Amino acid sequence: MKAGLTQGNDMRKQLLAGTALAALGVIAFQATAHAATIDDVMKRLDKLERENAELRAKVNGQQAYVRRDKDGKPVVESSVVTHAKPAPSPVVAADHTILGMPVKAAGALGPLIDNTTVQLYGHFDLSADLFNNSVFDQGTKLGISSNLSYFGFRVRHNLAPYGFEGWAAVAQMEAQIDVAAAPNERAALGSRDSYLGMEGPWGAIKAGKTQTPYKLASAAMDPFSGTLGDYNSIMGNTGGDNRAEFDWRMDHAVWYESPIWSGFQFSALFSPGQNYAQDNSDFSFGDVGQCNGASTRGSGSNFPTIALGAQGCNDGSFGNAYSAAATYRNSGFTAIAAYELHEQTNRQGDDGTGVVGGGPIILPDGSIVSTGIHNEWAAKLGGGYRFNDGLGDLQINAIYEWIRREVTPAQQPFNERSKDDIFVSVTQNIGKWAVSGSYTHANNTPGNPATLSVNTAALAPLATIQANLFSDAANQYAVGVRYHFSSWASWYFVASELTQGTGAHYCLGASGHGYQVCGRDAANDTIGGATLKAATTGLTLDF
Amino acid sequence: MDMTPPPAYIAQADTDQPDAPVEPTPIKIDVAKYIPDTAITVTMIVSLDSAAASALVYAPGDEKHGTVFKGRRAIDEVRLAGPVLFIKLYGATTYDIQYITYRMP
Repeated sequence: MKAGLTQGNDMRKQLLAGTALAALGVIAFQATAHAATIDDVMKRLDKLERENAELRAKVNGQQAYVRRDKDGKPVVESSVVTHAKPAPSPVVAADHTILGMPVKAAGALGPLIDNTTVQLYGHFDLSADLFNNSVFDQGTKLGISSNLSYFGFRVRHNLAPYGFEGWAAVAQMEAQIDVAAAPNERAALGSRDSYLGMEGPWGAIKAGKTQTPYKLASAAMDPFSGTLGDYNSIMGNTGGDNRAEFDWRMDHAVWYESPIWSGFQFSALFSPGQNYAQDNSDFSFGDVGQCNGASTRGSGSNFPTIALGAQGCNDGSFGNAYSAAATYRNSGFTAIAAYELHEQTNRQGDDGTGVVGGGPIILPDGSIVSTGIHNEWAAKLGGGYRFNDGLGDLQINAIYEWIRREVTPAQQPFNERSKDDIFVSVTQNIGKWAVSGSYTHANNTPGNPATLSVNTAALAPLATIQANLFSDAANQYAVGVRYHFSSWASWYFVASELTQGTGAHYCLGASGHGYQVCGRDAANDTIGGATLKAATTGLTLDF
Repeated sequence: MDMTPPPAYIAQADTDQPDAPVEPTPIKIDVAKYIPDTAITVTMIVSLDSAAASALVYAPGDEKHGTVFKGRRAIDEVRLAGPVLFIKLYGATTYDIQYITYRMP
């Protein structure tokens, strides 16, 4: 570089010297030819000096454009820039800092260290709810809820400057934010999708925790996600209650995400059970205090009443898990196919076997409940189409889902985990408004291990309803409207109703809303077949 | 008298270089074909025809927070605000975009 500058100075001197000599030559020539006066000569010299100064300025200005090779020779750039001086390379300013470090807080990425960008992002969803579960001692209630609100940061280290063009090392940490509720472990750092991995032309491979490919495959088809009209009341939900086992964020997992090839994308995930116990009844290594497949401090977790070695993870704790999905999107058409397997899912909490202090559970008709430890899997096919009907874009979606627990024939009367589900939704966009409706149906299951309660104060504590003698099919209806203030802020109103057979115990708001509305009384007795109704209005803000 | 003509690069600079920088024209990209309309970011690889080139990809009205792709082949994430993105090329004449993945709310 220094050599290049020295060479440039030499050349500039040569240029100036040549110009001056030429000027003297011209003066001398004119002096003999026209015998000009001294004033004429001085004027011409002044003019030449001005031209010389202009030329010098031009040369200095051009110096920045002229690239040179290692020998200081100019490199002709006309093949790159033929018609215009290129604008300076874009610089996206870092607007915000954290502890003095430049960080992009608004979506795009600002420099933190060389070739590394950090993105802060988040989602807020706060709602005011009005709900009634038709249970004798509950009535209509008001609630404030934060729904799937989260905050995270994502780091991408670009490896192109190091010889790996198109590759990046990526990491993310995301945490649930209990904006309205009192925070606990479910809102701990890393409680949501968090990982470290590599991303490149052949897709991405990551390790950590994430929503399964099965879940993500159809997530966009539910217009009421996170509300009390969320389709996970039934979809991906085995046995009802407030946990959708096949709409899951999988801990200790490794997964692959393919790039999008002409609209086609494939993803696959594996999560080892890594359980202390052979029957998956204990914690996974690294998850002490949290049963595998349980919601933190929620359904299936038994937290904190069990300790390592107590083998209390018997409400759906599973071993190895596999999940895969394929999606195809092209213009307005969408098709999805997904599959997920939970190996050796422990349901001994339903039959009392293998439970410390437990024993056989005998139903009112004298049958002994047997649920055991078996594989559970789910598969679904779905499709969607989006077109303009004159009012705006109309989006139609439909999904058919199979959920199976592979029990023995003798255990089928107690199998509430095998069922088929149907979901359809339609959204009409009109300007900034979106009007949506959805219908979700759960078919009857082969059996049921539970005894549910009659909806009266006197009978509820007795739990006298033998669920497998009644239908546990269910229907959920939801309608709603959303107004988009921008692409990042919206207001919504959703109304939902869930009707179910006497043997069913589904809830509204499973796996999404800040809390669930179930058919429970004040003593936590489960009322069979309770009709659930809710209306909710809320604001969302993404950044 | 040595009347060596000016070096060739000066002649080229005089003829090829305009007086002021020219801002690239934004090129519209329709991402809705492969990306759900509810996605909020898309990860992509942008390939350019020069190692010294760069590209700015941004959502309409969000140019200030656009994503810069430098070099022949770079991967990064772009924030979405609808079905359309824009790309500005700096020092490149052609580009290619490969969609890797997207993120939902």
